Amino acid sequence: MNKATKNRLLRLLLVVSIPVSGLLFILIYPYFTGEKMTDRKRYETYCGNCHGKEGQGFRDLYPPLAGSDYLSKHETELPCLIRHGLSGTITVNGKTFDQPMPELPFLNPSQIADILNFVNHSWGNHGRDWGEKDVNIVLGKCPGQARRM
Amino acid sequence: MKQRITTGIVALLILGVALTACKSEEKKADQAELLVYNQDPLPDFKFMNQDSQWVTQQEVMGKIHVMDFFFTSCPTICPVMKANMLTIYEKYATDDRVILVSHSIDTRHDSVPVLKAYAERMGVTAPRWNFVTGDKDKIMGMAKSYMVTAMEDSTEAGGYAHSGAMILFDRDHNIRGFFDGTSEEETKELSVAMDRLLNE
Repeated sequence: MNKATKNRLLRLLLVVSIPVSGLLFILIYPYFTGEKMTDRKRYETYCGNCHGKEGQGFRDLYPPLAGSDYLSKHETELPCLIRHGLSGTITVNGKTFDQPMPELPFLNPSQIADILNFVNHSWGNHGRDWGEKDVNIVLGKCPGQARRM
Repeated sequence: MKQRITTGIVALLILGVALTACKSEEKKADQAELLVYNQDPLPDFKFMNQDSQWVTQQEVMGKIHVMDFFFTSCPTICPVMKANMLTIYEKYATDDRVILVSHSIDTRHDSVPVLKAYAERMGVTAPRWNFVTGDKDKIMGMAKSYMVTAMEDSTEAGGYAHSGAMILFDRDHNIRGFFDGTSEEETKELSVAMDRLLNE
């Protein structure tokens, strides 16, 4: 291969690689960010008003989700809690809270799993992974709605 | 080389002009006239706060006051409204020239003890920030005279539809502005407007 052909090939490679990498970036970008954004968006829509955008809670009214011991202590109850809400006093990180949590009956098991996984893997939380099937099984065994815990 | 320097200078100039434009825009908002919204004097009111004290027009007269409508079990906009109003409360916590009034529109559930617990859990005390309850029709009627929405609506989460507005009043109990209580930006604007009314 002489020098001239080599140069031409290199130039061709450069010219082709720019649009190709651009296209790849566009295709892959939503895969990395879009999925996460949806989960965050869903969390902010259904949970974030009270529990805070960063799970920080609000004073002594709404308990935090970031670093909350309630999540691990009541791990298997969480799908029912999201769907049916709760009322009465609960203790989170040694502090009591007494605001009712509304029910969200329109969320399907897959959406509940997404919210749980978002909360369980955000703000330094390391909770379990929930699949749609696990959520579905738990939801089938929920005790009475809006129960006292 | 020379051309590059010229281009650089031109770019800097444009940036400079743009920045000044933004600044003067800010100034404009700062000096915008705070109009009186109500044509006639607003009706009298008498509601009870979390300490079982009456809050009437006499209490708020002579003070810059901010009012809103909410209910303690509201899962949608109220928590955000309260978080924003809390920044206003904290700024004027020791300022006797300011008074805040949040009306509960869920008079069935939000009794005086419920409002007391709610305020305490937020770390808020009367008389600076009053959480008031009273006759439901009267509270809904006040919302109407303050030109904001508050009504029962079974399709809404929690059972009530209400505006998220923070209504700003001057010392004479005239409405001087509406600010979106769910917006951090507008809460800052409210705080600027309050300072202006305090210096009026």
